[in-house]
Amino acid sequence: MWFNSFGFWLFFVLMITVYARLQHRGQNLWLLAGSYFFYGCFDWRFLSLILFCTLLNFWTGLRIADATEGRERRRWLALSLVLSLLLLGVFKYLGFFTHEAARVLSWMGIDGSPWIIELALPAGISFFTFHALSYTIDIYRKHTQVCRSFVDYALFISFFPQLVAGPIGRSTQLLPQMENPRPKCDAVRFREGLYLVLSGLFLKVVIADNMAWLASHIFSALPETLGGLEVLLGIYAFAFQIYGDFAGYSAIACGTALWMGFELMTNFRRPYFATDPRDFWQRWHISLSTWLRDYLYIPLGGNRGGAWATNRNLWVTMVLGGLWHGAAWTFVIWGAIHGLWLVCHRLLVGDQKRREGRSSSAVSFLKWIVTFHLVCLTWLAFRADSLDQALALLGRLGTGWTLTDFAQTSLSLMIFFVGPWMLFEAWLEHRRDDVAVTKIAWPLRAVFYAYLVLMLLFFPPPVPAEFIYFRF
Amino acid sequence: MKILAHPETKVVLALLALLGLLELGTRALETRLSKDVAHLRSVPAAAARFQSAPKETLRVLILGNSLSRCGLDRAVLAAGLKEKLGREVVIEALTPDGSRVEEWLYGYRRYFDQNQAQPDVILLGTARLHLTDNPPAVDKLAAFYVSRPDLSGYLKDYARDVESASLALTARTSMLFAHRARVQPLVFYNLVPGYTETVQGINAQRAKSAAAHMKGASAPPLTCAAFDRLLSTAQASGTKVIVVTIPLPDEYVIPEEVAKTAQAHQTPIVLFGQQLRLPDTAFPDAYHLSETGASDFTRQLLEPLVPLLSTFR
Repeated sequence: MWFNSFGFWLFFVLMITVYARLQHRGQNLWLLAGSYFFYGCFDWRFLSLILFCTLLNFWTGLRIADATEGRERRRWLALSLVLSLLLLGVFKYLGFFTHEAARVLSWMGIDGSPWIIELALPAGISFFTFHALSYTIDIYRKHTQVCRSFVDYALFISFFPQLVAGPIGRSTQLLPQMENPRPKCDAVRFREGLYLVLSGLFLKVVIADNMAWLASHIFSALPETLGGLEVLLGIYAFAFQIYGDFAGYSAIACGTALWMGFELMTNFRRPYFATDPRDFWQRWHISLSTWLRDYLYIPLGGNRGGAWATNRNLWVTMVLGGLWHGAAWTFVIWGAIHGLWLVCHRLLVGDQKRREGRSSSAVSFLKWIVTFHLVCLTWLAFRADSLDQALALLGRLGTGWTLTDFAQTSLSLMIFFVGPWMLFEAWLEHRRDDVAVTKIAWPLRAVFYAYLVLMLLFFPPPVPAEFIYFRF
Repeated sequence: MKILAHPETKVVLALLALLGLLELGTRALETRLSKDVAHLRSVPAAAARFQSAPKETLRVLILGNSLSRCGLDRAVLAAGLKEKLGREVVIEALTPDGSRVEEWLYGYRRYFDQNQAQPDVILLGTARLHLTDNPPAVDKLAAFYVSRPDLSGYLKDYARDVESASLALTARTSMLFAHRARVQPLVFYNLVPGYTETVQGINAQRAKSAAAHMKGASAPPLTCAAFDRLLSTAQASGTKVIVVTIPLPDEYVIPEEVAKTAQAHQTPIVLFGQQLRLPDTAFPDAYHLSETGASDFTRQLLEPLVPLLSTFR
C-alpha cells in the first residue's frame, strides 16, 4: 500500500475519520490495528516478525528498567541488541554473507552453492529494528521512561506513517506522544499537513518517478554505449530520483501524522543546498544520521579519544551506515567514501567554519557546486549494480560529451520537472524556514498548490515506480 | 461559516474550483482536443443511423482499431457490397486508436447492443494478437467504453483490487482524470527535443532485456475470453461476425486459440495476414495501409466476403 496509491488514501480517510471520534486509548488501539493492517498489506507473513520484535524489546525494556544492578541492566540490553540485530542480520544480510562465503569457497576450489541462503526481505525491517533499539538503549541510558503499556509501545514501533520508510522515531520524542492525549487537528496542523502531503506527493510522483526511467536507462545500458554527458545526466537523474523518493515519503509521513496530532522528526532539509559533507549529513536522512551519531558514533568513542580515534569512529560509523542501506558491497563503498570525505573535510577544515563565520557568496556557491557533484558521484556507487559497473560508468564520464537525443531529453525533463522545485527550495533556503509556504498569503499558496496538483494530474511517470527506501 | 474564515479552507476551495473549471472545460472541448475522442463521441450517432435504416438495408459495423480504419476503404466496401448483393448498405465503424478486443467488446455492448442498434454484420478487423486477452487500461475502458449496466461486471473482471477499481471509477466520474494521460505526450513529443527518439530507444532496450529475461521461461497461455464474449453477445441478437485479418508489412499467423474460439461460434475468419502480399510502398509508416493500399485490399476482400454475406438476409 504505497503512499501514492488510491488504496492508501482510502485507508487513511477511514483511519482518520474513526480516529477523530475516539478517546486517547481507543485512538491508540485503532491506530495499532490500522498499522498492522497496513504492514500486512505488504506481506502478512512478516506481521509475526514485527510482533516478535515488539514483544522482545517491550519485555527487555521492562527488565532493564526494573533491574537494580548495572550488570543485570547490561545483560538485558545485550539480549535486546543481540536478538534484534540477529533478526535484522538473518533477513537482510544472511543472503549477502552466505553468497560472499560461497564465492570465497569457490575461489578455493570448493563448491559453495549450498551455502547460499536467500530470504525475502521484510519491508522496512531496518527502520523498525532501529526504532526498537533506540528504545531499549534509551531506557538503559535512563534517557526515557519505560513504557508499561504494550499498546502504546507496539504503536510506537508500528505507527503506520513511518513504519516502512521512516523517519526513524526516537523514544524520547515519539513515545510520549503515544502515551499522552494528542492535540486535535487544528488550523495550523491542517495547513502544515496539507503542505507536507502535497509537496511529498509531488516529490515522489512528479520528480522521483519521472527521473527514475532516465536513471534506469543509464544503469541498464552497456556503459560503452554511453557518452560522458549522458552518464552525468543519468547520475543527476538518480540524485533527484532518490531525493524525491525518500524526501517525498518522509514529507507524506510527517503530514499524515500531523493531521492525527503527531509530530515526527523532519528528515530532509534541502540536502542539495549543502556546502560541505557535514552540512549534507545534517540535511539528508536526518533521523538516520542522528541515530547513527547517538547510538553508534558516540558509543564507539565519538570525539573523545583524539583526532585519529575520532576520524576512525566517523569512518566506521559511515561504513556501517552504508551497510544499513543494503546488503551489497556498493552500499559499503558508498558509506566508506562518505566516511572518507567527512574525515578529509574534518582534517582540512576542522573548526574553521566556526572561526570564520559565513563565507562570501562566491565561495559558498563554489562549495555548493563541489559538494553537489561529489554527492552525485557517490550516488554512482550507491545505484550501480556492481563496483565494476560503477567504475565503468565513472570512466565514461571522460568521453563523448556530445548532446545526444537522450542527453537533450534528460536535460529538458530535468529543467521541466526539477528546475521549478529547486528554485522553490532556494527560496526556502533563503527564508531558512521549512514551512515558509504556510506563512504566505493564501492566494499565493493556492497558486503554488494548483501547480503541484496539476503536475500530479498531468505529469505522472510513464512507469510508476515503488518507493526505493521500502527495500532498506 | 466559521470554517470559511480559515485561509486553508479558501485554499482548498480554490483548488476544487480550479479542478471543477478544468473538468467543465475538458468536457466542453474534449472532441476538439482528440480525434479519437471525437470518433468515440460520434459513435452514438452511428448507432442511431443503424436504428433508422430501412429493414432491407444491410447494416455493417467495422470493429477494430487504426489498422481497420486505414486498411478498409468504406466507400469501396459499400459500393462493392451494394453491387454484388443488390442491397442498400450502411457501413459504420468503431475503430479507436490502439484498441483491442476488450474495447471492442464493451464499446459494442454500450453503443450498439444495449441501444438496440445491432448491425447485421460485424467485420472484426484484427492483426495477430488483438483478439487474445490482455490486461486493459482499466481507467480508459471504464471512462469511454463500459456502459452503466456493464460496470459492476467489468469491475469484477478487470478491476479486482482497490487500486484498479479506484482508478476505473475516478476515470468514469471525471473526464479531466480520464484524459490526463493525453497531456504528457502532447507536451513532450512536441516540445522536448529528442524525446521521441529517446522513448523509442528506451522502449527498444526494455523490450530487448524483457525478451532476454523471458528466454527459457514459459509464456503464459493465450486466452480469448473477451473475444468469446463478443461473439456470444453478437450472436445473441442474430448479428453475424466475420473476422478479417488486416495485412501488415510482415506475414503473421492468427493464434490457434483465436481460430478455435471463432470455430466454436461458427465465425468465419478471412485470412489475409499470411496470404496477401502487398508491396512495402502500401505501408507508408511501416504499419498502416495507404489509401491506395486500402482500396486494393478492400477490393480483394470483397471476393471472400460476398459469398459469406450472400447467404445472410
